[in-house]
Amino acid sequence: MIKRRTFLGAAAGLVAAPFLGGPWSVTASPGAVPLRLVLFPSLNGTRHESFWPLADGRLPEISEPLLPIRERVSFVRGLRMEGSFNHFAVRSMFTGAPISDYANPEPTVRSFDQIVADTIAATSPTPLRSLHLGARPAPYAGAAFLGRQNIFRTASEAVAVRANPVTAFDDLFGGGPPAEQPLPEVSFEESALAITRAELQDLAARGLGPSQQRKLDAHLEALPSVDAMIPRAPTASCDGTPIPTVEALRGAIGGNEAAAFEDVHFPAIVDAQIDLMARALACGLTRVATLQSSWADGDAGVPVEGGRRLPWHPTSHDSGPAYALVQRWYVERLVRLVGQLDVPDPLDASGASSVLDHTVIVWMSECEPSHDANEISAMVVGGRCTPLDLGGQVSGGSNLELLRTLADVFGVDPADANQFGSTVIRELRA
Amino acid sequence: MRRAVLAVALLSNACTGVVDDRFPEPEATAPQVVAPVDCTAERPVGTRMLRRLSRLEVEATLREVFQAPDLAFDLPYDPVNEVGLQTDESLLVVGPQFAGGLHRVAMELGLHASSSPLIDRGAPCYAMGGEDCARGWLSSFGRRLYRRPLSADETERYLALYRAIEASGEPFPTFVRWATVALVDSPHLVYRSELGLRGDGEPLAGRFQLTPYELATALAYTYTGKPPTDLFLDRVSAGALDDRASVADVARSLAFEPDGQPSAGFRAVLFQFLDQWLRSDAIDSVGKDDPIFTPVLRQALRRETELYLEDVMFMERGSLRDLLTSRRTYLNQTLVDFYGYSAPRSAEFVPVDRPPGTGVGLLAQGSFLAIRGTRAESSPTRRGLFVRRALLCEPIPPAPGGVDIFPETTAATTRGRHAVLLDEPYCRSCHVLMEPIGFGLEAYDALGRYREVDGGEPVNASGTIVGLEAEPSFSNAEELAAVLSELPEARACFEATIGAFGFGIDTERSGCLALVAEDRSVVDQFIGLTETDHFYERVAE
Repeated sequence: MIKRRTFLGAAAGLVAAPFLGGPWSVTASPGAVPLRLVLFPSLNGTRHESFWPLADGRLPEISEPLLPIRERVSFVRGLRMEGSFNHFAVRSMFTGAPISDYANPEPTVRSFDQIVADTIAATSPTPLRSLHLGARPAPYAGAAFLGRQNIFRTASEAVAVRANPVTAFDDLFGGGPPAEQPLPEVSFEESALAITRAELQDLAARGLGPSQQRKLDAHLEALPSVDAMIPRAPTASCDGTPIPTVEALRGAIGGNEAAAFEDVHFPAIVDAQIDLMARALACGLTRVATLQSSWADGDAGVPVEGGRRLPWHPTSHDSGPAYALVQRWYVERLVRLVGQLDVPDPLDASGASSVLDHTVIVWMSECEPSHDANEISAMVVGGRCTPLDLGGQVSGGSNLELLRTLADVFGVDPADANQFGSTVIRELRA
Repeated sequence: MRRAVLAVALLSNACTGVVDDRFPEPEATAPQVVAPVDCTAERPVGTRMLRRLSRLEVEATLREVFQAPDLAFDLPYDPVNEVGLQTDESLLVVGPQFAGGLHRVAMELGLHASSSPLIDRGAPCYAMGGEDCARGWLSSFGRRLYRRPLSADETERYLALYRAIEASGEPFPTFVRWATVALVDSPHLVYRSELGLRGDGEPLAGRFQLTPYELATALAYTYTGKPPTDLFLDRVSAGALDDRASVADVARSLAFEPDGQPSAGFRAVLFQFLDQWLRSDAIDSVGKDDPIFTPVLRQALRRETELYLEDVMFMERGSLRDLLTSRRTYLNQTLVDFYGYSAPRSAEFVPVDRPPGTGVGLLAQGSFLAIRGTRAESSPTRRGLFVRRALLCEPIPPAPGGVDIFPETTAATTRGRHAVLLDEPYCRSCHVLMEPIGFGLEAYDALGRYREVDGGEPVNASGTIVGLEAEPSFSNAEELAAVLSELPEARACFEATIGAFGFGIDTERSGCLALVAEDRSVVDQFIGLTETDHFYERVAE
């Protein structure tokens, strides 16, 4: 019988070390501490009057939980969703691709998280290239809802979202480093991949038609991501200390992907995924993460006072006080993530800054409850060490401008950043 | 394949309606541009292709070849096409997720294959190593994974790897480890080659004839869900598939045991097909407000449908007609209480004939109906949509954006509320294709239970299949099932759907492959794939 080896299985050289409470066994950066990115979409829009800061600076009902971290938050007003609207704009929001309807073909460009992940992989790779977590990201396991579900993507396919925090935890942290395995012989692994490349080129030489050639092209383009898995220089260690919110779900959904899609678990899964994400970001396992809670147009039940559960999308359509409760709950989740990241940054040799200080979190909706997308809700939440001017309100023109601004912050090659145009939101830069 | 004339006309007229709820039929991954099949050709066949193995086929292949039943995978889910199938070659690509997941498995298997027990059970030379030994190992494992002998050039690449490892002082198992990684990552494992070799002379001029090894691969995966066995490959090398006339016999030998019972592999393949076509998995997580819809009930409903399909397909050797009209179902105590039938309350599932008037066949199965209901109501939209897409192969587009709120109505019944969609021109253009069929299943509530009253009024389950030349009408669910079972469009669609699943294409293309839309048994329809020219030949794209 073969034991399940995991993401970290490839990084066989990692040394287990307690995470919480140290000592850290990571490679701290002698220079600038690298930034981390979190995309935190909030689907189905917001109730504007309860979301944006009031004229006197107070925060209304939805955004009120942000008060303790107000200086780390910039509200970005006036953004339209460029080239799209309605729920099918989920495919536009982070790709910038125009999507005119649910039936629109899938974009063929990368979403922002993937562009940043590629940038990091090319400069200072992490053991895990990017982490994509979800809580009921679809109505059931294996569902494929065109236009409502897939937010993040590579150039050729939607990114797989992990919906079960228990199996995700086990894969990421549970086994710890493989026991007594020798370091993989990097050159042999590279040689094995070279055989794969050569065989793909053999097939391409057989005079295939254009549709089949596209498959081979996509396959060849996927190989660098495999190459990036070869553990040449692991920089961080992450241990398997149980995460209480994850362990609380183990009995109910452990190993059962279908159960992770049962609505009864939705709120608990959101919290568990947030905690899991925070662990992965803090310990240096990855520097790019996304969280997808429900799917656009979906009815995941949001817990509100009195033990009630409000279906997310249907409640959005009355856009009344009930929807403010739904949105407030999700803002509270954002605050939970921020709190989890406010721990010493192991990548900072000086020990003076927190993970949060080096993190940029982007909150964005795909449309408004009316299905228009002329002023989507958007926030940037970040730390003191990011080159962003946080704590106020800024105005922008579109989601493209926000993404282009952040692409520059992350040092994305201009050739890639131009996917989002050339206009930036200057007010947002420090 | 015949298509509904009016339906096409309606759809070309800017379909602007909406599906009624937040759980429409799962929508397909956006179709890719594919080479069409020339339906007008004398012997229509599809184009040359590389079919990426489905997730299940990859898993079955590696578990089988490496004798590793507990191997864990985290490959991404396969994309779904317009009728729910996950075998569509145009959608199955190797992107970063798939390549990464496969490489993780490859690394696992590299360690597994090079572990002492397997090495010890292998050829005696494994202890000593040597280039001949490496060549021998490749001819065994490589042939199973590539489903053909490796070419000289391919072998040489692996031998170069062997020499590098030997030169580094590493033992033979190290070569096994990394050669295994390369074999598992290989495109020759990942893709089913259906490229063929160019034929010469009539009738093959301009056509590519699949090689015996490509045929063996097609036969093995189509009829067992697994790669060819060593024995099968030996027979192929001895000429077992050189004669086209023998291929159907080989298919039957793979699909059935000597006693005539379907093999475990064939049974699994057929259930994969039906699970995808019916989206049976959704019963586990479809949302329902009623607290009686417990996990135990969901499991029982799923089991009922499995036993129903087993009965019709394998015990009765039934056809589509039987799938739609068989009165028998299987109930245990949980379901007897749920449906309220007067049947034996047994802990085990037992065959029961439904009471007359309460429905027949697949469309009366509780799991089918519950999946296609909303949280609290039946859904004529979703039930009608299934009939249109999956039983008639009509390309209903996804719900458009802009509007997704039900028109105002005070109607007390679900039928009444949905009837409003037919009154609004904006909605009618699409919903006229769905609701008048879905109304025929209004005698079943959101959970799939039979009912005679809805909203305080007697259920009206009459309807019409709009858009067909005959526009057949019906007055209840049993008549709807009978009508559908007689429709040539439904038979052609079902045959095309089986073809699409077996050939890894869409129903539009498979509908042109001269499949025989007779009322044959489902298992015979699968075997009948070998009667098409497409099974043996391809044209250039």
